[in-house]
Amino acid sequence: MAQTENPWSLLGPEGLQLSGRITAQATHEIKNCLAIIHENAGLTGDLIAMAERRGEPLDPARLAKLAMRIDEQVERANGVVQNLNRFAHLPDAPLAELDMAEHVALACALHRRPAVLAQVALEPGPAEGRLQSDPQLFHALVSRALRRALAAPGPDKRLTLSARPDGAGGVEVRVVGLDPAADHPAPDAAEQALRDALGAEWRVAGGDIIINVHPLAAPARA
Amino acid sequence: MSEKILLVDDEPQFLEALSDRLDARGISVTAQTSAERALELAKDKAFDAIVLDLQMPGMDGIETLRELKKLRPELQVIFLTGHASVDKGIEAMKLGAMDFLEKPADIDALMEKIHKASARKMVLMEERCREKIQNLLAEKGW
Repeated sequence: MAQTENPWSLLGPEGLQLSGRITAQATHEIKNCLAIIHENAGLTGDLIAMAERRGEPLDPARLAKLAMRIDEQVERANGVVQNLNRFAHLPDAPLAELDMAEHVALACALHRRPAVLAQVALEPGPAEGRLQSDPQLFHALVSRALRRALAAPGPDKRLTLSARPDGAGGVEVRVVGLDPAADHPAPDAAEQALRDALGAEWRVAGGDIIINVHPLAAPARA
Repeated sequence: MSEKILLVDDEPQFLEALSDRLDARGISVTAQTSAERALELAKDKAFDAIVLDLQMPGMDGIETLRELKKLRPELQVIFLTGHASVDKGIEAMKLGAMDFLEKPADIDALMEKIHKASARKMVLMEERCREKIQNLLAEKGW
C-alpha cells in the first residue's frame, strides 16, 4: 500500500470542503432547532399575555407541551453540537485506534441532514472491530462513499453503513442500498489520493460500495 | 378580513407553533410540510402570501417558488429560512420572491411582511382586473 508523504496536498481542498459541508449542515440544523425553540417560547409568552388580558387561567397541559417541545429541541441541537465537536476533533491525532461502532454512528449522524434532504433513510448497521488509521482521512473517504450512495439510492431509498474486521487487522466498510444500475465513475485525483493514503481498496458489488481499509503502521500525514 | 397565508416548512413543530402565533394575531394559516402538497393547495385556494422554507426535502424553496409563480403570478412569497445567503437571496428575488427573513424570525417583522404581501397582491389583482376590463371594452368596441 502506498503512503503519501505529504497528505495535506491531497487532503487540503478535500478536508476544507468536507469541513465546510459538515459545518453548514450542522449549523442549518441548529438554526431549525433554535427557530422551533423561539416560536414555542414566543407562543408561551403569547398565551400568558392573552390570559392576563382576558383574566383567564392558563392551560397547564398546553404549557407543559410547549415546555416539552423546547426541551426536545434543546436535546436535538445538543446532539448536533456533540457530533460537530467530535468531527472537529478528528484531526487532533494523525493516527488513532478507531472504534468502528463509534465512527460508523458518527458518519451516519454527520450525513443525517443530506439524507433527509435526499429523502433517503440512512442508518448505521452492524459495526464491529477497530482500525488503526487517520481519523480525518477515514471520515473523508467514508463521506465520499455516502455522498455517492445518497445521489444514487436504490428503490427502497434506504442506505446502511456498516463495518467489520477483515481478519488482517483492517476493516471492511460497506454502504448497502445503492441502485444496482447506478453509474460509478472513476475516482477523481483527490479521492484516489485518499484511497492510497489510507491503503483502501474500493469496489462496487451490486448495490453495495465495499471499502477494505488496511491499518496504517505510521501516520499518513508528515 | 384576515389575511390568508400558506406556511410551508418541513419541521412540523415549527409549523404548529408559528401557526398558533399567527392565528392569535388574526392571520388565517394553512400549514404544509411538503412543497408538492403546497403547490396543489395553491392551485385551488387563494392565499394572500406564502411563507416558505428555502431548504426542504424533495422540492426545495427555489424550485417551489418557480412553480408557484407559474400557477399564480400574483402570489407573494416570503422566504423564511435558516440558510440565508446573499446568493440565494438574490436568486429568490430574481425569481419573484417578495422578501427574505432569516430564522429565528421576529414575529412582528414577519407580520409586517405578511401585511405588505397582502397589500401588494391586492394591487396586482386590481391591475389585472383593470386590464381585463380595458381589453373587453376594446374587444367589444364600446
